Amino acid sequence: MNDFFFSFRSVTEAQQARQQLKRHGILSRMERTPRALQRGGCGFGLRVSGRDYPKARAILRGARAVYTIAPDGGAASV
Amino acid sequence: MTYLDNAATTLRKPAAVRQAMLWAAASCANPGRGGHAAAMRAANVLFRLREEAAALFDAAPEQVVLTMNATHGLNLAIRTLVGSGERVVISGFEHNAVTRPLALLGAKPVVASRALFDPIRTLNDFDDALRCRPVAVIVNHVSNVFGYVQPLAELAALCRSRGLHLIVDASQSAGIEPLSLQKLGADFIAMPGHKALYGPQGTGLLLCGTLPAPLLAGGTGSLSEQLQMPEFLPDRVEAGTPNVPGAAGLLQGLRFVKTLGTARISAAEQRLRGQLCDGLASIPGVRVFDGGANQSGVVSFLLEGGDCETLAARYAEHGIALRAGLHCAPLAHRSAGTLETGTLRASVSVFTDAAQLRSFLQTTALLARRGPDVSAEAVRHRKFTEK
Repeated sequence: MNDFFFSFRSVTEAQQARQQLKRHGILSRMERTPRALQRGGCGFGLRVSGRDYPKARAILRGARAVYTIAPDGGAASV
Repeated sequence: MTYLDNAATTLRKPAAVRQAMLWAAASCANPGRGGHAAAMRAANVLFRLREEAAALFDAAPEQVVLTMNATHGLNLAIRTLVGSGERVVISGFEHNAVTRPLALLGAKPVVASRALFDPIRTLNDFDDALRCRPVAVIVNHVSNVFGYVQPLAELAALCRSRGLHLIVDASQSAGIEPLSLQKLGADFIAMPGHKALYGPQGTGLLLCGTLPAPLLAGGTGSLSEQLQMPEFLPDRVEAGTPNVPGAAGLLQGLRFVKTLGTARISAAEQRLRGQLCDGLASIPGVRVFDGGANQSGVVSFLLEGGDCETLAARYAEHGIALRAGLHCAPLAHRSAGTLETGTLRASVSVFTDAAQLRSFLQTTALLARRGPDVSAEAVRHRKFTEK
């Protein structure tokens, strides 16, 4: 199953989002936004599992963009 | 040493502050730049600090901006709201951290009130002064010279009722008096990390109810392709590498304040203030500025016939640390009529105890009896030769 990556404008936004997900029982990993997915420059994002994605998507309405990340690392916009 | 200069900086901090700083200096890299563990560790320190401050001051984490000190925060706030030639209403007890940025901008400050330890008169004076429709109102919550606790909640309500912007200088109140960004409806509340928040020097917080304008432009680790500073907080006003060891220390300071509780801290400082004022008032030749319930743990006083700086040196010889002079607040002295003399200032913290106050009062009685110009060395020599 693919992971999903929610990208944010800044590390603080990503950290807040991570806290939001944690409050809803969803674990996520904070990572640098891959260069190929950056819009406007550097940023941070949260990787969540495919299983948690639907619930995470409903919580994180403020994400800049959402991508699906395939096991081989390939990314596609959702 | 009996340290009674806590209004300048709290010298004694909880042990966890230093430990956190050492830990951060050894293990935290640059936050918001890299994705490796040491960078994430640093980012987590800053975020936890923002969360802790947000909980203490009733704000959202992103509204907590990290600054170098309160002066930095006040400059940010003033430059956001005030332009050249614009009218600003201020209290009569503002620090140079407010009056100098206003002067640099060419703003027109209107001093609303010079009433000392009189909140009702302060409010009435502000009510009159606000008719001039200033672009902003700036209030020093607690005077760093006299410890006067201005009626901030009521002043904030006045500003809200008239749709006026409010900047609060909480340098002497953060960590002691309750402060809520939401309830006050303030545009900005500036505070140092190194006074009653028990963090290290080189830290401060600016609570932002309004989006501030950048003072410094540079790298933020976000939206790097755009030349303009980001439009969102806190990145908009946090260019460059932050003071991560300082932030780690300040986080521990905030946790210390949260554990004790501001109600308990404020009550303890009131007790110490009362002991200080009563003790000083009982010494002939001492004039103490006693504000009772309208005063925090910052007490100014004068000894008859003595230059305050000379006296401060005498105190230091006896191992007592005070501050003397104008305290970077000539406006406060103009308001109270002490510009010519300056004042001596004793200020407490949660670590001040009764024994320290006794030592200070005994030394004050000695200096008042003996005269301020006789050094401790001269007294020791005199006592030796008299034997």
